[in-house]
Amino acid sequence: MAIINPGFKSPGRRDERVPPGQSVVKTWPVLTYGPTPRIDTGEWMLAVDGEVNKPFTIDWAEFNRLPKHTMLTDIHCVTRWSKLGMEWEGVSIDELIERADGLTSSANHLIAHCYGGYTTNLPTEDVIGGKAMITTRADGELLTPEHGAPARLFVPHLYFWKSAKYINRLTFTERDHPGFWEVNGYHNYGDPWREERYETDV
Amino acid sequence: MKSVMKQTFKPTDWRVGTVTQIVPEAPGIRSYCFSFDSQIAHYAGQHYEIRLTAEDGYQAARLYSAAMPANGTSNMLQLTIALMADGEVSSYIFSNVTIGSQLEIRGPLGGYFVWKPEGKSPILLVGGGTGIVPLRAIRLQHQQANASTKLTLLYSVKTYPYMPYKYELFPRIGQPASDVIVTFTEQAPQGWLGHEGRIDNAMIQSVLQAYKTTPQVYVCGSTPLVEVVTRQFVEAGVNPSKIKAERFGATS
Repeated sequence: MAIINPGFKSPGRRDERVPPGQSVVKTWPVLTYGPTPRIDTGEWMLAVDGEVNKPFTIDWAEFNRLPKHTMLTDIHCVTRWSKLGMEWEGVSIDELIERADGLTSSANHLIAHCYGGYTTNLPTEDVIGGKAMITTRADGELLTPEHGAPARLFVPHLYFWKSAKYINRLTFTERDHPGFWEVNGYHNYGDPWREERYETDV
Repeated sequence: MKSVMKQTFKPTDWRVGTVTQIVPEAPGIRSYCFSFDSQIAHYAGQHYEIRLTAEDGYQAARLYSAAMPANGTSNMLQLTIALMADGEVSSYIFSNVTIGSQLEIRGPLGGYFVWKPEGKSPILLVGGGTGIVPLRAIRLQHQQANASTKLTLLYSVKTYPYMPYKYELFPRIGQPASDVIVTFTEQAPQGWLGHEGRIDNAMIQSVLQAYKTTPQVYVCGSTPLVEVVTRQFVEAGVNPSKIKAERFGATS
C-alpha cells in the first residue's frame, strides 16, 4: 500500500503511451557503463552466428546495401525517462536471419555482443517479426558515438539497455546467457509496461 | 557484507523512510537522512529510488546515489539530492519534505558502479558537480574499511560555495584533504594555489603518475564531463575495462 505524499500533485492527464513510472524527456540522456567506444565504420563488422544455418560477417558497406526500413516509435530507459516519437532507420533482424539462411530449431535466445565487451540477452521471439533491427540513424541523423555509433541493436518494446550500442555480433543460442546489466542487478527480460526494472521486480 | 544476506526484504521492496535530518550542502543541493524500521546495507556507489504518490494515485520516482556507506549495522540512509529545474520529485522534496516526513524508498539498486572493501586495486575517483555523491560514499567506505590501497579523488566544481561536503573535502580552511585534488572551474577561493579550470590531460597525467599500478577509475558527472574525462584516461593508456562511468543528463 503506497503512502500518499501530501501536496504532491499529478501533472494532469496521463499519456497512455507512456509506460508506468516513466517521465517524458525532450533531451536524449546518455547511459554507458564506461568510456564511449569510438568505432570507425572502416573497422566495423557485424557477425551473425550461433544457431543459424549459414553464419556470416559483413562490413559497413555491405550492411548498408541491405534493405532498410524505419520504425517510428518511443524509447524507454530503465532510469525512468521515455523519449517519444523518434524515427529510427536500420536493417531488420528478420532480414539478417534470412541472409543467414534462417535459424536452427534451437535458436531460443539472442545474445548481442558489442565493441567494448557489453552483452545483452533477449528471447529470439522478441527480435523477429519486425520487432527489432540494427539501427544506424535516429531522427534522420547518423548515430553519434555517445548513442552507439556506428550501429546499435534496436528493440524498442523493452527497456533501452537491451538496445545494445556498438553492436558487433548477434549470436543465437539454445540457452540463455544473462548479459552485462542482467548480471548486475537488472531484470532478465525488461518489459517497461510491467516495470521489470531490477532482478527482483516481478 | 554478510549482513546483506540476512535481509528479509528484497531491494525492490518499497520501504518507508522517515526524514531525521536535512543538511544544506550547497545552493540547490541537500542531504536527507532517513531512518527505517529495517537495516540499511549497500556497497558504496549503489543507488536508491524515491517514489512519490499523489492522492489520485499518480506516482513519480527518481534514482539517487547513496551518499554514505552502510554495512547493515544501522537503519540510517543518507541521500544527497540536487534540485532540478523541471524535477517533479526534487522540487517536491525541496519544498514539501521536512523532518518527520515519510517517503517511500527502495534499494540498494545497481551492481556495477560500486566499490567493495575486498577490492585490491588502487582507486582513482573523478567527479564533477553533483557527481561527487557516489564517490564520496566510496571514499568514506574506503576510510572505514582501513583499506591500504591508494585512493585519490579528483574533483571538478564551479566554486567553493557550490562544493558539497565542504568540511570533509576541505578539513582545514583553504586546503583539501591529502587524498583530494580539487579544480575550480568558475572561481577559486582567494589565495588558492591548486588547480583551476576543467579537468585536462595534464591533471590526469599527473594524478596517474602517483600510482605504482594502474588504478580502478570511477568517473561520475554530467555526460559532457564524463565523455571528456573517460576519453582522456583512454588516451593516457588506461584500459577501458579499468574505467567505470556514471553519467547524468544529455550530450549537450
